[in-house]
Amino acid sequence: MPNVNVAGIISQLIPIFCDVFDDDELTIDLSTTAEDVDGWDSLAHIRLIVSIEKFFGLRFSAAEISDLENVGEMAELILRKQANA
Amino acid sequence: MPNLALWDKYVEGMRVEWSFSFSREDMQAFSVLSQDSNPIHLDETFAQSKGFDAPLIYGLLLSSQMSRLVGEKMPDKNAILTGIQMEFIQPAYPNDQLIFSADLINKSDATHALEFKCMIKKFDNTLCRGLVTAVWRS
Repeated sequence: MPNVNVAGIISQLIPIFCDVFDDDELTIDLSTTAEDVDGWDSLAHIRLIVSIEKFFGLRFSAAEISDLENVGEMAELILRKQANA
Repeated sequence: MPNLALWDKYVEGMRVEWSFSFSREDMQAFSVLSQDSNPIHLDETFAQSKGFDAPLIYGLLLSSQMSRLVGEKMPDKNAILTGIQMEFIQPAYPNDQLIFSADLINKSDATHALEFKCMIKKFDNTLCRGLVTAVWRS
């Protein structure tokens, strides 16, 4: 069963994804990757990460971002950084 | 591998500022390049009939200073413009002495994205304000 806190982060990420990719119908889950979303190229990735940083009030390092495999791992990273803040 | 010594020259809170003006000849050149010959920008009588002191400087000509910001006023030549927003609050006229200022308000180490808050002023009056985003690639 997914960590309920991760699920909460995912629900907060959905409107961010919808805004960045200009798609109000977009859905994401733990396993979502760039290959699953139309328009998720390098520039969109930058806009996405910056939007996430602003929304959650966090700063990521380049190494942290490069290690992420999917949206679930992003949600876990957010939780870890919130816990250490 | 990005040269982080160069990236470190971008510091949140840094400001760049310069003075500039546009002449009626600049306005003519922009009308040719943009294919916008609306008389509000080129005809004194027309502009005054609309309540302005003189022909208005094109908003996107004023915004060209955002290109100058990213292309020429950065610590290096590695920034690439990715977005602009601009509000035109008060009119600017040919030969007005204007000041463009930009403050770096967000620097993302994860993505090398930059965000600037910008303003164009004439004396103490804010004529335009906006945001510029860029990405840095060494």
